[in-house]
Amino acid sequence: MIKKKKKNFNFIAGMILVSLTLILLLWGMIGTPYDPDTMDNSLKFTGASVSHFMGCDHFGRDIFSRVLKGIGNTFTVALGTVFIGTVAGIILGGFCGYFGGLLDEVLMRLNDAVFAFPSIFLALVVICLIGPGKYNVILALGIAFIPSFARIVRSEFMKEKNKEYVQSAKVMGAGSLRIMFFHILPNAFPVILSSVMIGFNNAVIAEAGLSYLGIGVQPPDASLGAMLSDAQTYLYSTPYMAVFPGAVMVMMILGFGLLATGMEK
Amino acid sequence: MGQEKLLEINHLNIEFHDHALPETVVEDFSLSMTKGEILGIVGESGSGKTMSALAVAGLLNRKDMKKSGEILFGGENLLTCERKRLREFQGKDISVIFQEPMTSLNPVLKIGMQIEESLRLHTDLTGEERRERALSYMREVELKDEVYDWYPHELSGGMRQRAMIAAAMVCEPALLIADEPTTALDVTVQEQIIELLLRLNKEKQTAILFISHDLSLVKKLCHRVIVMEKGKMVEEGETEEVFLHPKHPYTRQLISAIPKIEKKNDFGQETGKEADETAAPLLKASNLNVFYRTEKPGAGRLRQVLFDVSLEMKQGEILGLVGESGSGKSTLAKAIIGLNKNIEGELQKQEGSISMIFQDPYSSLNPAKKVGWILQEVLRIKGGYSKEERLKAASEIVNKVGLDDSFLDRYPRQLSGGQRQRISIAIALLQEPLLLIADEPVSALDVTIQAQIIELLKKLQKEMQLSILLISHDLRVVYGMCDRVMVLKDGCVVEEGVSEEVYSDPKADYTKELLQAAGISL
Repeated sequence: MIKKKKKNFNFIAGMILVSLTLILLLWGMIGTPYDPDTMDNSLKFTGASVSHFMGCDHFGRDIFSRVLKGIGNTFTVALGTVFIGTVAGIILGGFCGYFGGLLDEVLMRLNDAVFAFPSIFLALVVICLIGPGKYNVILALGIAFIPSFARIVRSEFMKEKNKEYVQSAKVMGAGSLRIMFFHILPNAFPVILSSVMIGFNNAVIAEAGLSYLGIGVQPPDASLGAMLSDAQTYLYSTPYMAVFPGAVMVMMILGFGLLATGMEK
Repeated sequence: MGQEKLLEINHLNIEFHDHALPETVVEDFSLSMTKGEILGIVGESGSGKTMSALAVAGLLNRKDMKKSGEILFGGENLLTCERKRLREFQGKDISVIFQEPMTSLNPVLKIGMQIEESLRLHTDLTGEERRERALSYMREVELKDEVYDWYPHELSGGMRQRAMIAAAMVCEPALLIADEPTTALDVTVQEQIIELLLRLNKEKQTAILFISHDLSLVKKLCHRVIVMEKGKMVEEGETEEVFLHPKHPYTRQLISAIPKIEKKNDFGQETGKEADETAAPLLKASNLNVFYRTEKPGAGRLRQVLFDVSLEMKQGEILGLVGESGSGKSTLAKAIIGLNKNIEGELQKQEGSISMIFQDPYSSLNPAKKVGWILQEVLRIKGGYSKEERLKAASEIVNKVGLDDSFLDRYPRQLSGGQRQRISIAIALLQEPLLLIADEPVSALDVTIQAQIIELLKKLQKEMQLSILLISHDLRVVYGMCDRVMVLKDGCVVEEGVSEEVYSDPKADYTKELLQAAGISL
C-alpha cells in the first residue's frame, strides 16, 4: 500500500471486479426488476429474452432478480462471518500474543484442536446443534473462522510487542488494554486487512457449500450457493441456471482475492 | 611504501534510476592507491562512501543503476571488463569485509568452510592444503584451531569479524576493502580489529580501503584520507594534514563533532555544582540483583544479569553508565524504570518521575501513528487535558526540541534519525520527569547529528534541572556530559566516581582498557 510506484495490476483488476459486485449488491438492495420469489409456470425454463435477460428457472422465477437477491444474502453471510471471526480473533489472538504464558498455552492448544477440523465440518456440527437458517449459518461459520484469525493476530502481536515503541508506551504509563488496541493493533492492521479479504472469500465459498447441502439460506430465499444447488438438477438441459450465479460468485471471489494480493504489495 | 599504482578511479559517477528522477549517489569521484597503502574514506550515512567501495568490488550490478568513469585495477577497467574476468579478481585480488558480522557469514556453513571458499574457487590446492592454509590464517587473526569446525552462531561478534577477515585474507589479496568493519563491535574489540588490520597491512603489504564514519579510527589507521559529502569528494590528503589543517568546512564540522576530551571541562563543573548535595536522593538502589526471564522452559528460567549494583542519584545530576554490550547497562535501566520486574534488593524511586529515551529511534516511535498523535498520547494517558490543551502542549514541546509544528502531521518514517530522536526526547519531556534515562541516545546517529542531540540534552538539562542517567558505550559522549561515571562489566560495577577522576586516574584495569581503546588519555 505504501509503495505504489509501479502499476499494480492486481489492485486495479480487483478494484474493478469488487466495484461491479458492489453495484449489483446495491441494485439488489434498491429493488429487483421482478419479485425474486414469484413463480410463473408459463416462464419455466425460458432462456434469455429481452424481459428476462438471464432467463427463468425451474419455477419460472427471474434468474437476474434472484442473482441480485442472492448476492445480498451471500454478502450478508460472508460479512457476518468475517466480522465474528475478526473481532473474536483479535481479542483472543491479541490477549494470547500480548500476554503469552499459561493463558496463551491453553488457549492456543484449544485453538489448534479446533483448527484440526476443516471449518466447513465445524460449521456443520454447529448447525446440527442450532438448526439451519441464514443467521445460524453466520454464527456457525463465524465460530469456525475464529481460530485462523486468532493465529494471525497472535503472531502479529508477538512480533510487535517487543518493539521499543511498546516499551515507550509502557513508560508513558499506558495500560495493557490501551497498548494492545491503540498502539499495537494499528500496526497489525495491514496484515489483518488482507486476511479479512481472504477470509471473506472463504466465507463466500463456505456459504455456497452449506447452501448447496441445503442447510444454509432456506428456500424460497435465494443465495448464490442455493441457486447453484437448484441448477445442478437441470445442468444439461438449462446450463444458464448455473452459469449466471456461478459467474457472479467467481467475479466476487476473484475481485476480493486480487484486491488482497494487490494491497500486500 | 611501494610506488606501484594499484587502484585508480577516474571520474566515477553512480546514478540510480529507480525513481522518476535519476539520483546521483556518487559524483566525479577520483582516487589512486599505491601498493600497501591504507586509504580511509569518511563521511556520514548517505555520503556515497559505501557505494564507491562496492563499485570497486564489482558488487554494483543492479540494472537500474548507471555507472560512468573508470576503475582501473592493475591497469584493467573493472567497470567495462567481462563478468567472468571480474569474478577472477573478486576474492583473489580484491576482497571485502562487511559491516555486519552477524549477517555476512552464512549461518549454516562451518567457519572453516567459509574461510576456504575463495581458495576453492581460485586455487588448485588439495583439501588438506586448503585446511592448512585456512588454519594458518585463523592463527594469524588469533582464532583457535577448533573454531574451524564451529558454526557462526557459536562465535561472538569480534570473533566473527576475525573469521571474516581471515576469509578475506586467505588468498592474500592486493586490496582489502573494509566497509565499516568495526561499527557493530564493542570498543575494546574495535581496537583489536584495528590492530589486526594494521599488522596484516605491514606483514602482507595488503592495501586497505577503509570506510568509516568514525574519524578517530581513521586517524589511527589510515595513511591518507578522503572526505565525502553527499556523493562528492570534498577533501583529500595525508591523514595528519587533514586532521590538523582541515580545509573544507564540512571536514571541520566532522572533526569538531568528535566529542572532545579536555581536562578543564567547563560544562561538567558547572552542573556539578548545581547538584544539590543536601537533598534526598532522587533514586537509590542498593544491592540490586536483576534477572532475565529466558525462553527455556523448566528449571533455571531466570538468568542473573546484574550483581549487587548500588547507585544513588541526586536532583540535577548527570550520571554516566558505561560498559560494553552484554554488561547489563540496558537491563539496569529497565529495572529502574520498571520494565523488568524480576529484581531483588532495594530500589527507591518516586513513582511517575522517570521517563526514558530509547536507543533505536527507528523502532521507538509507533510506525502506524503520526508524531502529533504519539505526543498527545502521553497526555491522554495522563488524563485531564482537553483536546486544545493537548495540541498546544504538543506544539510547544516540538518547538522546544528544535522542530516545528509541521512535524506533528508526519509519520515517523518521514523523519530522519536525528529528528526521530528529538521526538523521542519530546515524548520523554512531556511526561514531566525528574529523572531522564537515556539509553544510548545517540549511538544510532551520524556524528554531526550526535553532537546536536547531545547539545540539546545539555541545554534541556540546564533549563529544566533534570537528572539524567546516560547510558553509552561511547566514553567520549559520556565524558562530555556527565558529572559522575559508573563502569559496568559483566553485570558488576567495577568503578565509580567523578568523571574527571575516573578518566584521568582509572583504578580498575577494565576502565583503563576501555579508555585506551577509545583513544582517551588525560
